[in-house]
Amino acid sequence: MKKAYVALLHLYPSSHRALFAPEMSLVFERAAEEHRGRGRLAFLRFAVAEFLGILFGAGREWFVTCTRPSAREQALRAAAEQSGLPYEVVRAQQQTDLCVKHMVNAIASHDFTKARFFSEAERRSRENLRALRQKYNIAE
Amino acid sequence: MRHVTAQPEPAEAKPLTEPVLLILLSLAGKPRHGYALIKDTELLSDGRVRLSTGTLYGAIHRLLDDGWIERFEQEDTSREKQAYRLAPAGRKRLQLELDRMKQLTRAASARLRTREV
Repeated sequence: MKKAYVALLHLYPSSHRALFAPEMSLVFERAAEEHRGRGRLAFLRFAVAEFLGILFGAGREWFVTCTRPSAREQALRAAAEQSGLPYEVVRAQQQTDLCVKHMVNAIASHDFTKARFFSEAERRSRENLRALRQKYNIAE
Repeated sequence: MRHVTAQPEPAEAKPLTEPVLLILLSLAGKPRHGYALIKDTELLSDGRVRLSTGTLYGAIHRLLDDGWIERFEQEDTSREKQAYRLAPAGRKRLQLELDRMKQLTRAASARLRTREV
């Protein structure tokens, strides 16, 4: 029974397995021991619930793993939390900074077409930032 | 310059699922490891809810990621018997949920009373 359970744990993403597989096996073993003493039907019900729990749990973990925000978004969210500013504002601020950085680089390499492009992008980004600051009532 | 919002965050406005609520309630008393959590949540729900290990560790994973619970290091336990405790953010969230439930119970009782009259 435990072997089947441990084999089913391989359905989980490796990140979840690395964190919880030993604990899960141990808890399953203790719970199985307890239910074995309650009769065949109770044990069967327990086993079905456990295996279904693994199937649904693994499915959910894969869904979360596949839809998790990117590292950049996580960093932006952390920055927003730290500064106390709304996420949208922090994202717009970073977008503006990036445009400025690209514009400066383009000017430094005498690529004025690119510089004009980023200058225009920066203007739009700054307008967006201004609108967001107004929306959230944040001073410049 | 600090932005203060009067509206609760979307995640805070969302009601907790029953397994999550029971896990947070169980950890509000004292730190517990996985098996103790299964037993205590069963007790708290009067035997109605028995968490499978899949459900329990899925919820624990999410709660750790959200910073609502944290690993609790005990000297005498192995990695397999990891204990968890409620973090301040989890306690705050649990309090919000209990307030929401109280408000709902009050509203429901008032509505039922008016129907009886």
